[in-house]
Amino acid sequence: MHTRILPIALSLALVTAACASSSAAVPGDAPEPVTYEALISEITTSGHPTVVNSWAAWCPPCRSEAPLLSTAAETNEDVQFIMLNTKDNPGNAAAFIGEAFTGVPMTHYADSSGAITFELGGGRGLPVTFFYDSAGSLVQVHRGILDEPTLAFYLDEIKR
Amino acid sequence: MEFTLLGAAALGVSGFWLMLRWEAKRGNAAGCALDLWDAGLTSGAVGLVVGRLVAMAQVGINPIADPAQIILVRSGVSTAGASVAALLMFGFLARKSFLSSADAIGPSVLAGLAGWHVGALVTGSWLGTVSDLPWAQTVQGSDITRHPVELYAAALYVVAAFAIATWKQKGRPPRGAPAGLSLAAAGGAMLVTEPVRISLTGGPIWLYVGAVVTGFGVATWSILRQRSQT
Repeated sequence: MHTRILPIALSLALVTAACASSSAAVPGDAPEPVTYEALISEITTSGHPTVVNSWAAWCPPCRSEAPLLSTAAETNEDVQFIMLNTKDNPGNAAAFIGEAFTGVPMTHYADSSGAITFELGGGRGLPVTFFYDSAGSLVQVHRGILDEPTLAFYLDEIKR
Repeated sequence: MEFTLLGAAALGVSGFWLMLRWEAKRGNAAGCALDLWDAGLTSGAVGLVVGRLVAMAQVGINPIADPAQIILVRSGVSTAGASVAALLMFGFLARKSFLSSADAIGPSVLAGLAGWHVGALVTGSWLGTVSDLPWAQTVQGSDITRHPVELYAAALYVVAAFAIATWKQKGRPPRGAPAGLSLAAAGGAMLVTEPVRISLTGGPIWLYVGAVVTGFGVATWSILRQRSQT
């Protein structure tokens, strides 16, 4: 009997959650291309801890962790957040930036070939998040989707 | 793909199963007609999905537009949404004998929560705020020692689970009191460990306080009701 109850409850929950409105997306600016050297220079000379997140609009885990990264950027003004749009269509990237990152204090760059993410040490998969301390030293590379405790922990580490 | 979360879930389910077995051998669930294993897992599964949907709704992700994201549990599950949904689901499944079923399953749920928190060792998110205490731990690549906060929570859950189970076995508590104390312990362990947790937005304190107050309220009501009947 319980196996019949489960689908009903899940369907109700799904419909309820679907009723939650999401704001209409306004396309953001397409991210500007950047070189590996320029990116490293920005990380090492900023004087702030830095989080670099390699993402793409076609990558569901990247889209899913975007609200968490937005919250982190808004609540950690002393940390520089660089979003590296990787192997993506510029139009789709701009649309998702408008949907998820409007007004969030972040810098957006494009890595159309994925070479920069690879050179940073991220491999080929997405998402990848790099955590640098204020001296520009790489503290942690997190491959895969971030959860809140993990992100909060590494932010705490790079701010010390 | 990451499978660490599955490892943590497996530890949680294992803790739940082990305590159910331990209790069954001592006759602590003898008066309960409900299949506790079935009800517990169903409630947990419903709680997980509803918690994920609530978390998605809170950040503006529409599950109809992005259905693939529902399975990305790691990107966020609402603790409050999951807890309330799991409790409601269990209440529905156990509607014919709610108090005795809740008494029977309470310690096992606490053991399952203990397993889930130990699972933070697998997911790598088991450390809290900075600490110089002798048992403070650090992660590879860091020289900062921290509270093993998830192990604190797990230890509290284990102690509470065995204390309530032993009380049921030897103390013959009034119906509803073990369930109330289990609920209070579930919220209390999180409330006590919250100050040493690292979080972006803070935990749902209102949920923890609500569980403690409601749990103690139910337990007190059960004891007073029994006294008035004797």
